[in-house]
Amino acid sequence: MRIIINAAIVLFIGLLLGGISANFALQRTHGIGAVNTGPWSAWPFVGGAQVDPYTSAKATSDGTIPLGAAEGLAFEAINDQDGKRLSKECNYEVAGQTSSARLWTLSAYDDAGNLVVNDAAQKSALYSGNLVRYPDSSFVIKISSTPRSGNWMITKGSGDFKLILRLYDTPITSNSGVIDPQMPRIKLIGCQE
Amino acid sequence: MKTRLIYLGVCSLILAGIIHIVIILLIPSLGSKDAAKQIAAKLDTHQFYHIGDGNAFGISTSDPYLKLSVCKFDLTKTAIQIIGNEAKTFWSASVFDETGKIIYSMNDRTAIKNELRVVIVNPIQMADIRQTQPEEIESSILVESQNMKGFVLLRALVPDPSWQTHSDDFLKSAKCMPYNTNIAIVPDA
Repeated sequence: MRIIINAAIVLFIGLLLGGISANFALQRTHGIGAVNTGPWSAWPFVGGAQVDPYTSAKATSDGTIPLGAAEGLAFEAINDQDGKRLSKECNYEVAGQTSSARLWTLSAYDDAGNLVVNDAAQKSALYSGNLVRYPDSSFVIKISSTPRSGNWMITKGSGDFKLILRLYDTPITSNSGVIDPQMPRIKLIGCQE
Repeated sequence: MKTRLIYLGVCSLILAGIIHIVIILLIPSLGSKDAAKQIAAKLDTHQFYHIGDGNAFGISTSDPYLKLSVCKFDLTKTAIQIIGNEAKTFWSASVFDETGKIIYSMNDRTAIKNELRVVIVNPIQMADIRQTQPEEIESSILVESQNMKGFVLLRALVPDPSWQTHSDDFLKSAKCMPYNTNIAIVPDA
């Protein structure tokens, strides 16, 4: 009798801890097998043969199709510069410069992987060719639910979101590894009550 | 009592570790959201399908500025030739194997004369091509695949709505057709 109870306890705790830690490794931690710069993480090897099991599992559970080395590289951020989770109720400024690339896009996604706002008039996405920039080619993108001057990306609703910045046709994927990519800062401006 | 608790705790942790590893390793083969699997299951071979942002095929977090076209191929019988019209917008193509691993990728600037001309072959067909050296091959990029099955994903940039037709034309005009590498070798006269 006692051995059955023992086995049941071990099984219960084992399954629970194993499941929670696997989920945690895929959803919450950000950067196993990744190249990290500030809040941004990229997985340059996700489509390759040498991919590590965590990156491979994350790609499957996210439902993403990787970009090839000649196509570009996607950087993902779930936190702001200070490590706080990105929230749709808050306003942010994405400012600075990116590593060199022919073009890039920045998009905001909800937890299900859909664009935060995606209708005929507005979508939570920006293309590098349509930006207003400073003379030194740096830029500021304001992320907010209400219209802003300059480069504005719309968000709506409540809950977490993530940003994906995709650099297309960029030399950083073909250099010997990804050496210290330059990425914009994500600054929290304020939150609605 | 105390030793029993420690014993149980250690057993639980070992089991938790095993479960953790098993889950991580099994997700790629059992995950239902896997886009590569949906493409393999839903599409016919040797034809490009314009799939927009790919949502219908389980491709999530897709880039709203890039539209997709996909062609599933099978190299068992013939090689595959991929041809596209010239495009004024950024485009890229990648060749995936069945499991979604990238075999080869390119963009409009790495292509020969900025044109989409690719021939995908298996190792035997590669040997055939080396023997016959057909003319079309000179202007095409040759990709050798160890896997017989896979798919080609074509991406085209739509910077704003006025480019929609141009990008769509490029994606729709792309052809993915069987290519015969086994053309009878003309014996020396």
